[in-house]
Amino acid sequence: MKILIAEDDPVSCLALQSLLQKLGHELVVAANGAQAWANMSKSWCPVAILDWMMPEMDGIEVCRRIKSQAGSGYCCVIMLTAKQERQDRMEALAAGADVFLTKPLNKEDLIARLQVAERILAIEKRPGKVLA
Amino acid sequence: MDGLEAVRRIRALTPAGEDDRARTPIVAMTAHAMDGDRDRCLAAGMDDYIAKPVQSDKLVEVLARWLPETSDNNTVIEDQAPVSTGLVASKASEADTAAGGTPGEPPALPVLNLETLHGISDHDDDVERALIGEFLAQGPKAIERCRMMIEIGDCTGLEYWAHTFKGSCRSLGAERAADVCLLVEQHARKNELQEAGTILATLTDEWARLVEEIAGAFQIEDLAVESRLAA
Repeated sequence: MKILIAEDDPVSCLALQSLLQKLGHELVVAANGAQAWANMSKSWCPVAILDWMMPEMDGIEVCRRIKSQAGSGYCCVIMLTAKQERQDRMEALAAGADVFLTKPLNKEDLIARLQVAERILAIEKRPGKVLA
Repeated sequence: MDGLEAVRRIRALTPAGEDDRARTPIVAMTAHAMDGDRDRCLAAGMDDYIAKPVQSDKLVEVLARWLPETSDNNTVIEDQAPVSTGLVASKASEADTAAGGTPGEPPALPVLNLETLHGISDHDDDVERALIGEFLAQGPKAIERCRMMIEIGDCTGLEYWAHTFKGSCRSLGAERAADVCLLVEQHARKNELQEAGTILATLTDEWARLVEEIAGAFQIEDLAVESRLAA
């Protein structure tokens, strides 16, 4: 799948990149929210993994923008953050995020969520079925 | 050095009965829940015993038994603040002899949890070394940026850099450093620059420990000078 990564922390970004590349995904990498949104506007990705706290535009705002682009089709938004409070989770989900994961990234959790995203995308592609 | 040997040496410093007030209570913390292990701990000079996984009520019970009653201690227990007032030796750094007693001292977590690193890298040594290399390059920069933010009084900037570095630390399993970052972040959010500065000094120490731990785990003899600079 084509996956957008938005992560300003180089260490977390490298970890995520190497993991997703091994899984055979095509990656679009952005180091801040504004860059992520610019990439997404140019070329739609069906999955976006977003850090929350980023310069220029935070992950929550990128998520809101992605979710307001209903015409572009479904995008599974995964928030991956070092924020860990229950209210953070609630805020992310309220902004339209599909998944809320905390750092450190758990490989199995991520793979399972990507499989869910693949199933939803497959349903969306069926004729007559429209999600989002 | 294992815990039993550490206790023997500590006790050798202050023989029992010589000065009981100066005698530091030592609590064994172990996953071995057998009676024999308990006896060995007590025989080596420990005073009490707590089984892993440590449950907070049991910990409070043990601390209440051994710590003198002061209002300070009660505050720590009630707030369940992530600080320790005693010296806690974790398995990841048995020889860690940082003196406790200052608020903001990192809790008893591993300096570097290799399981996290192995998990995220899928046990790929090349990936691990690349991640560690990036981490060693970023750490001193992040700490320096935090220090600058405190200097110019920018709480928002401080919160951002502490949070971002916390993310790096969490991602690689540097759990103690991550928790210290969290404290800096929390103080920054409350505009408590002075407190944040105090904790940042702890972070600098923690980073030095982390670099040592990484050097040991990855048999890196010649760590880049700038990685140690923050210390």
